[in-house]
Order: sequence, then structure tokens, then C-alpha cells
Amino acid sequence: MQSMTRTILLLDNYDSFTHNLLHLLQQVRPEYRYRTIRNTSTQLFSITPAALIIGPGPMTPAETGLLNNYFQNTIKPKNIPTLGVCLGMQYLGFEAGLSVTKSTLPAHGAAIEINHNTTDIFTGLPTPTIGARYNSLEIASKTIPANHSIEVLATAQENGAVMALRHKKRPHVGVQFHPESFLTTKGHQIIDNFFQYYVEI
Amino acid sequence: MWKFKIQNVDIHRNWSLSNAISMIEKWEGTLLFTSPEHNKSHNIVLGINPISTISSDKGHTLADIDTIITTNEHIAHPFLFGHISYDAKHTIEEPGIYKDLQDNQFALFQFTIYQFVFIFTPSWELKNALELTSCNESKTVLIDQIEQFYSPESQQFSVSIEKSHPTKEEFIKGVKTIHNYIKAGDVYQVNLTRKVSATISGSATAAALALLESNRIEFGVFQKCGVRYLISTSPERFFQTNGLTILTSPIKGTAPTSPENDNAGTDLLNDEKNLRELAMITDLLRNDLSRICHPGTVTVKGYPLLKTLSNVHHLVADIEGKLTTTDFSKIVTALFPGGSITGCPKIRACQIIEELEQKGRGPYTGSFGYITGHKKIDLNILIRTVFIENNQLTFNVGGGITLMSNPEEEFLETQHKARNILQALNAKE
Repeated sequence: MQSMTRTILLLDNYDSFTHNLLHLLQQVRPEYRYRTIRNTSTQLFSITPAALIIGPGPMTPAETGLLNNYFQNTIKPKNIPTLGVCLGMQYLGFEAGLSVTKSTLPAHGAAIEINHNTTDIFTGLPTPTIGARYNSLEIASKTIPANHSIEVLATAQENGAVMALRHKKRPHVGVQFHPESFLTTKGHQIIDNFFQYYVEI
Repeated sequence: MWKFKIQNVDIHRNWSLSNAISMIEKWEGTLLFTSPEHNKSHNIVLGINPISTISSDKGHTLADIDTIITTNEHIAHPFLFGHISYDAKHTIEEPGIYKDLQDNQFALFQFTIYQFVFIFTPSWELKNALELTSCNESKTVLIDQIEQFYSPESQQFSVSIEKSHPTKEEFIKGVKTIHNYIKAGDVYQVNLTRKVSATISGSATAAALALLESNRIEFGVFQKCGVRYLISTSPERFFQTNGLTILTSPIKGTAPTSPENDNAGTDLLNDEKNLRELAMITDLLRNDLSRICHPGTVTVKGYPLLKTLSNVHHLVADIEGKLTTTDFSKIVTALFPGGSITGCPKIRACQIIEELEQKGRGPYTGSFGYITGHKKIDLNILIRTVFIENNQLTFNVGGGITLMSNPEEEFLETQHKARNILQALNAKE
């Protein structure tokens, strides 16, 4: 019953896929209340959500309006579960000290094969799984040392770029590909897993 | 707001494209073609003699159109005809995001109610002849006057090209700038266009006839409003609503039909650059529909679809959803401008277009269409559209720039598109 009134905050980075993500979330978990707020709005600071979804968007993780301020002052101290998508995942990596660099294979609207080890948000998925990629920037998996606070969950078959990552100690997880795209085959399951393993525990 | 009475009228005369154009020249009006695809409602619609106008130039807002529609819900037929300019985008998005750029004298949006509305089959058989009246108008004419055959004085015209803006060099430089923005993560794709200006002497209506006869007309328009003419041979539907169902059919990817290559269509269906662009725009339009549709109802009905016209093949997608609102203003605010002519993500793409094109686009890449009192809306995307005002003739040509685009080839592609229009006009280059 508690979840009936809980709010999920979807941060809109002035993107053209935000509402696809919102509809996917609403389909997977219709019982939550969803608020979509642009990254420049100070309304953010009045919300303590049950989970934060950092949506995709243009530019770099450093150009995301009030996100970093909100993340450092509300999300991290209150240990709020967070899912980052595309730019959102890059932000989680960037925030933890990883380098976000120009992709060796920039591609947009490409359905690619993603390797993972069927755990965490990929539980129950076939590997490789098909996901839509819309990115020019990426995190190269080989740049992440084993003792880093970030762990890689999935990589691109084509160039080994990080396709999903999570924080080892905090409830933060991100995907570089777009679970909300019509080209992604198992987006519904990935979102369901996020709620199961990060939000409803 | 104005409420109109509607009645059937009797009219007996021969109908054809050239007769309709002549009538519009005499009385002012709008001629619209609606595509046969997806339903059986393919019609030609003709509005004659303007009696009321809702326009940004008169201080009206899009919400005023909602009021007019609601006041006239007894009118099952198309009764509002008009356009929304691409340059209206700054009035729809959050303030400060876009610049207020305006290119020509066309209003940011304008919808007109005509005294007479005629609806035809594709072969010009008259299906309905209607007259709209209200208590407070003075500009009405008698149906007998409309019935008379009107022959324009001259069928002669000639067109000479003056200039392109941006120039070839600037356009190619613009493509390279877009490549840098894509690599930096700003955008995935940007639709860059250039404007061709020409002078026209002689009959604008003869030029319109030549253009409309030059192509299989899917979502074509001919409108005369004062001294301004808008002539469109658009192949693209922006969206259509029918009850609570909305359909959008973005086009991405073009290849010329060729007698030497029967496989041109199949090749296009397998072309990675074009398929990726279409996927991107499909996701973008899914997003925009999701803003005004119920969760779980936005579905991709067709991807990719091949659409073959007389001289080109296109790749198209069909995306459908169940609306949460039937208000024209809310639907337009969620969707405008059409994602197929901006780029993706839309906001950043439009900002880059402002930077590189420097000028507004006017109605070009905006939308034109009709609305019924039953809240049925059918709008096109105003591409392949020529504007004539006094002796000035202008049109834009462009294409989608991705990382896979070659700058020189993209310019040649715009030249090819311009040539299709100029050849129809017999223009001197």
C-alpha cells in the first residue's frame, strides 16, 4: 500500500525520448506517481522521490543543469535509488570519477548486441540482448580499474563500450542504450528488474 | 466566438484542378488534397471566399481555435483551413529556448473559414457543396457568382533564380559544423535547409498549376490569401486525428526512382543510414505522441514502409496512439514542429538550425491542413512548398544531416530537390 503514493522523479534533460521512458515506467509500474521535471527547474529541490530516473539528453554529463546539485544534496545523502539512461548513465560514471569520451563508434538509431551476465537489471534476459544506441560519447570499459567504485554490468559486442554500470555501494545503476526505444527488445524487463532490485527491497 | 450555420447548396459547373485554381484566384481560397493511405477518406477539399480568420496577426492564440471548434461541433465537414509556421516554435516551447526568427509576411499561424466548402472525390466528382453563414459577416457572395466560369487573363509566367541562402560554401560548412556537434554529443541528426529566391513574372496561378501537375499530389495545397500564394506538393502527413485516435507518418530517406534500377526501393529499405534516421524519428514521434496519449497505447504500426511517388521513393513509419485530449491547441503544442524536419533531440537540433540557417523558415516545414467541427484534424508537413508574394518566389530545400552524411553529396541532394521544383516551373538558372 505504501507504494501507492510514492513518487518517481523523471529528470528531463531537454530530450526527445523522455516521454517514451515515462510511458514505459507507467506501463511497468502504474501504481506510482510520476513527476517529469526539466533539469533547470528549482522545483527539484522540494522533491524527495522513491526513485530518481535520470533521462537521456544532449550534450555532456557536465551540462545537465541542476542535476549535480540535486544529486549531491538530496539523492546521495538520502541514498535514493537511481536509474540513469544514456546521458543519465554517463552522469553516474562521471560523478564517480570515470572519463566520458568520444565514442570509437558513434551511432544513433542503431540496434546493437549487448553482452551481460544475466544478473542485476539483466536478470532473466537472453545474452546478448538487443538494445538501441543513440550516443556519440561513451565510457570505455577498459578504463575502469577493478577496485573502482563503479562496476560494469554490460558491454557492447561491437567495441566493448560500457552499456550498463552500477555503483558497488550505492543503489545507482545506469544503461547507455535506450530501454524505451521501439528497437530495444527487453526494455520492459529491465525496468521491472530496476524496481525489483533497487526500489522495492 | 463565431458560430456558423451550415447548409447544402446547389452548384452546377465543371470541376478540374485548373478551374479550382481559377476560382481561388478570383475569390481567394484554399485547395487541399488528402492522401488515400490508411483510410478511405481520400478527398479534395476546396474552400472559397474567406469570411472569418483566426490569426496570430490579429492577436489570437491556438486556444481560440479550440473555442471555434467547440462552438461549431455541428459541422461534420472540414471548415477551418490554415497553417502553422515553423517560426511559431518559440511560442510553443519554454521561453528562452528558441529565438523569435521570422522569415516572411505569413502569420505564425492562420486558419480561415470560407463561405463555401466543396468536397470532391480524387477524380473531381462533387460529393458535398456547403455554405457557411453567421449573423455578422458582410463579405458573402451569391452562389450564382461562384458558379460562373472564371478564366484568368494570362496563363504565361516565367521564373528566374536570384540566390541561395546559405550559399553552397556556407551550406557545406554547416554540414561539417553539424558533424562536430554530433561528435560532441549535442545531437544525433539535424535537418539543414537553404532557401532559394527567384523572381516571377506573369501568372502565379499558372505557376501553381504547373507545380501541382508536376507530381503525384499526396498532401498538396494551393492557397491565395491577399497577395500571397502558398503552393505545396508535400508528400508527408504530419498527423491526423479521428476521434481519440492519432496517426503520424514521418518520412525519412529519399531515393530517386530510376528506369535503370528496379531495385531502388528495395535498396532504400535496406540502407543503414536511412533506416537509422527513420528509427530515430520514429522514437522521437513516439515521444511526442506520448505527451498526449495514454501510456501503453503508442504503437509503431509500420516500420519501415516504402512509399513510391512518380519520381522518388520514401521511407515512412506509421505511429499511432490513443489521445488523452482532443484539443487542437494541446495536440499541436505537444507535437509541433514535426520531428522529421527538425532533427533529434528536437530542441538542440532546432537551436543548431537557428545558428546555421540564421533566418526563420516562415511556413516552410510548418504544417497546413483542415479541422472539422467533430475535432478531426489532418495536417501535412510543409515541404516542397513554394511561396509567391508580388514578384518574389521562394522555397527551401534541405536534408537530414547525420554523421554518415557526405557534405558535398548533401548539397547535391538539395540541388536535386531544387531542380525538381525549378523544372516544373521551367525556370531560368
